[in-house]
Amino acid sequence: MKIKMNRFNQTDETDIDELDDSFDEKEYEALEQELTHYLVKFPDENKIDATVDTLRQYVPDRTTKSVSIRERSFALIKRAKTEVTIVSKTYWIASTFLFFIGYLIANQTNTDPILTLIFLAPLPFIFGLSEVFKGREHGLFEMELACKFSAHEIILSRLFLIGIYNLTLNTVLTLVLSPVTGKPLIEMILTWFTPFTFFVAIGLWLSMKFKGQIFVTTLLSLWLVFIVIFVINNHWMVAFLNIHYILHLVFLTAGFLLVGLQLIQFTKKYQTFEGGTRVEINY
Amino acid sequence: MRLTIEKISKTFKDKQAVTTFSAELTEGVYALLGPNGAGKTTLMRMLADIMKPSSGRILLDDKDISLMGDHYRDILGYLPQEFGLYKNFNAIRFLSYFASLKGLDKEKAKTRVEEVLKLVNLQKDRKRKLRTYSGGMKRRLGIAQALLNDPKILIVDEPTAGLDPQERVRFRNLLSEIAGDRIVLLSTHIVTDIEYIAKEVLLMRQGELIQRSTIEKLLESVEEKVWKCSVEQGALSQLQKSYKVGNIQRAESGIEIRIVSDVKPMPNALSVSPTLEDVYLYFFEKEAEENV
Amino acid sequence: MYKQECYKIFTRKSLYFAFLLFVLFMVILPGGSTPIIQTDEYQTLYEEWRGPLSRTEIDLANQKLEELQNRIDQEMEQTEDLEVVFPPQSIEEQAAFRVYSSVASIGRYIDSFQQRKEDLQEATRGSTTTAYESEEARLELNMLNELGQPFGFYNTTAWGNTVDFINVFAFIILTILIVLGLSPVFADEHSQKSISLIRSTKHGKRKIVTTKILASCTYIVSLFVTLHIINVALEVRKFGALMDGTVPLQNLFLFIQSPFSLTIWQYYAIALGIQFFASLVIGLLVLFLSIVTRNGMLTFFISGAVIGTPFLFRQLGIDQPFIQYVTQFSYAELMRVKGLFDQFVAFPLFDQPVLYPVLLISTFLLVAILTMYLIYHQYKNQQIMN
Repeated sequence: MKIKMNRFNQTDETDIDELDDSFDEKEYEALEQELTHYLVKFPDENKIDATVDTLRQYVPDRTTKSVSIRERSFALIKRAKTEVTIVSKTYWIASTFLFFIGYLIANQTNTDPILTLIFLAPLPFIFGLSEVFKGREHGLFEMELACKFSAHEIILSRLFLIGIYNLTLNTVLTLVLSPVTGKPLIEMILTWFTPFTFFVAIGLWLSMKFKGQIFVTTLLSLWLVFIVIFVINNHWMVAFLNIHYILHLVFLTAGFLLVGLQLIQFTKKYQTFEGGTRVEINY
Repeated sequence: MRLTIEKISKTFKDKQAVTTFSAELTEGVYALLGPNGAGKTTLMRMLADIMKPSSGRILLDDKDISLMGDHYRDILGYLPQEFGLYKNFNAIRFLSYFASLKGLDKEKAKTRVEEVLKLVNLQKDRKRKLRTYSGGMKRRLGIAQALLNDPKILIVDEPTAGLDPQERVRFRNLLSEIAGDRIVLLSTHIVTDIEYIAKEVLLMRQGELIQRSTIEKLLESVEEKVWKCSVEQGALSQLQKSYKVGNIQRAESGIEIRIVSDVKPMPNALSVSPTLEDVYLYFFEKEAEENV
Repeated sequence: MYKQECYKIFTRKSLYFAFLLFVLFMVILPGGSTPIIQTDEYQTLYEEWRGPLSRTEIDLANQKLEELQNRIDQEMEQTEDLEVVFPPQSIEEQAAFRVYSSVASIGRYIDSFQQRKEDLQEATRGSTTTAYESEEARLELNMLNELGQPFGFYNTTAWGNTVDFINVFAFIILTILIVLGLSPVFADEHSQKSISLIRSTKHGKRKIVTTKILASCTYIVSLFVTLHIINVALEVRKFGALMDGTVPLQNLFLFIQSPFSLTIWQYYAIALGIQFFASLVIGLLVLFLSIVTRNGMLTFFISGAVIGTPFLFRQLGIDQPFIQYVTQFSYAELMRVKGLFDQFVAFPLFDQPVLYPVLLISTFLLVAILTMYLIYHQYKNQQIMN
């Protein structure tokens, strides 16, 4: 019996030929009989373990993807520290200067300080986006993808960086201006934060569709027109400034959701080369 | 037709790119050979009338090209080393655009566009958007663009970069085919490109013309200066320090090297017939060392 | 060549994106019309009072207004509810209130118009003024005399909005889209690295510039026409037809002070013409900057600053005399048009008063010619360095 099984296992071409010759009906029937009654024994633990151990080396390693979110974001933040030097100095200075001017305008002239705040809030982010995509604009994308920190991580950490910087500037300006307006701090923050989140979301979306110079200028234009309409249309402005804070929170949540959505899109898009180059580029 | 380059120099803020360069070119293919940073591109830009010399003049049949203006550019074809294409144009649209820029009338432009597309072997892809073009195709389209107006003066800056060997051969043949009654100036640092087609070679180093002659004469000048010998691995680095060493090839009996030297480098060295590569090495090796 | 240059501009999706969003803003913008005007009650009263007004009519309106006012006051006293400033009245009363108060204020305009003429008469006699000032007063007086008595009671809301569109939205949207659309015209040839190809061709130094300017003009024309057509369509949808276009310009609230003898639609046509001219001038400025900076984004910011800063000064209320000159002779002011016509402004030129619009337009004609020359000159002499 055992010998026969072995013969089967080692079958090669010559064996088959041989088999054809030597097989007669009787032998075949006997074999059939045997096979119907043959029992496969369950292998013992040790053998299973041994097999598993041998196979283990062929199992691919866990991908970095499953590293915990905490660890990943921590790496991003650490990464952001080095990115500070890569984002151009002009950007840091220009943004701060812009807010300084904003402070002067809000303080010196008869415009509504909150309006100045709303107007200034997303500007550093809009400018910053062009810094975020520096690599893409200068044709470094391919190389960035090949590095340890790949393009999407670099982009995310830069986004994080300019986001934090932008929020800091806004908060400082809010604090400085709060005695001028005499409004509660939380209300002031909510007032600029809501439009800010929406514009960040639109900005992220646009930045995926258009190349650098184009999306920055387009976004700025949109922002400008939005503000002008806002200023001219008094009842809109009044309505907006007097919205109940619960409504603000609702809009804010919506804004945050939009931003989150765009960020997820982002990571997906910039993980692969095709994703990055599919960016819509005008002639 | 005679293109005279009269002592032209070009100075940038911190760099002298071309220094009193003089030459006279007549019909035929000229090759501008030199290492990176020798000022080839600057020289060619001045010849293409997109950059003005800091001093000196360029004359075509005794007329200053800066005064000829569009009459000069009318007979000029130029292909820069680096150039961009409008990514959302297709080949036809792109070439028609340049045909109109070059002042071809509509009817002529149409036939001419087809002709040059055929010349560079892009007929099949003529309706595709340029963003889908491969590097070699883009370069071929650039060459097509330069040929559109059937130029009397053709200036091409490293035209074969990024072409595969087959395309290279095609381009070489194309150049020698059309070179008959025009001045073709081509820059390169790939010596095989010019071996068969160049009437004369201009060697350029650090903005200066250091040698100008035919390929035969150049080869002659290094005759008896190219040596081939077998050495041990250990001796190689010593040799590289004291001689201009070309090809290094591993053979069964040690390492076979090619040396360019005025004197016989070692007793067992055999004199071999020189190639253009040896010429290049002979004139520019120093440069390469300095760059390192 | 021209076709391809247009193709380069018109295939930029971001422009369509921005344009569509702007139009969307325009559509969702609340209309300036109050519902009371649409009611039959208002319409009948309006028909009754419409047209030039005589002194007796104005007195009658004032009287009726007073009666209404008294009644409202009484009602307010009765309710004693301070929250209700305007107690709910019948539609008739609301309509009547509106008509009478309009007529009454027109009465006041007429009075102050007369007063203005008398003051000017005084000034021309020159007892307290310099020679130039009396010259200026004479000019203004002549214009006012030619005007006659322009005021009447007309419903000009639709026209008012249409005309207002020019100095607010058309100004900002056109400016932004022109800057956005034209900044890359020359600059992109650099970033696309096609500039050296172009410049070495026969027509690569002069004709290409002409073509690019023409293509840019085409862009401006199509932008301008589309935008204004959309606006007129929106206004008509909001208010019905555009009525009373043939009455004097002064019947629009914004132009009460205007000394120009124009009907509303004449003004509209002139304003459109001037705005179109301004668009072209701005277009040329952007093209020039696009050549000089060789960078689309830089062009965007610089032209934005050149056009925007005077406007910002004005909005912020900074008005030193010098700044005021800068503001008055700025691209923005020309583009907005309104400032040229809404009051009498003249500047001394060789001791003769010259009207502000005449001076401004001739200044910018010169600017346009100069810019045009600089564009050709700059482009021709540009060298390719990298």
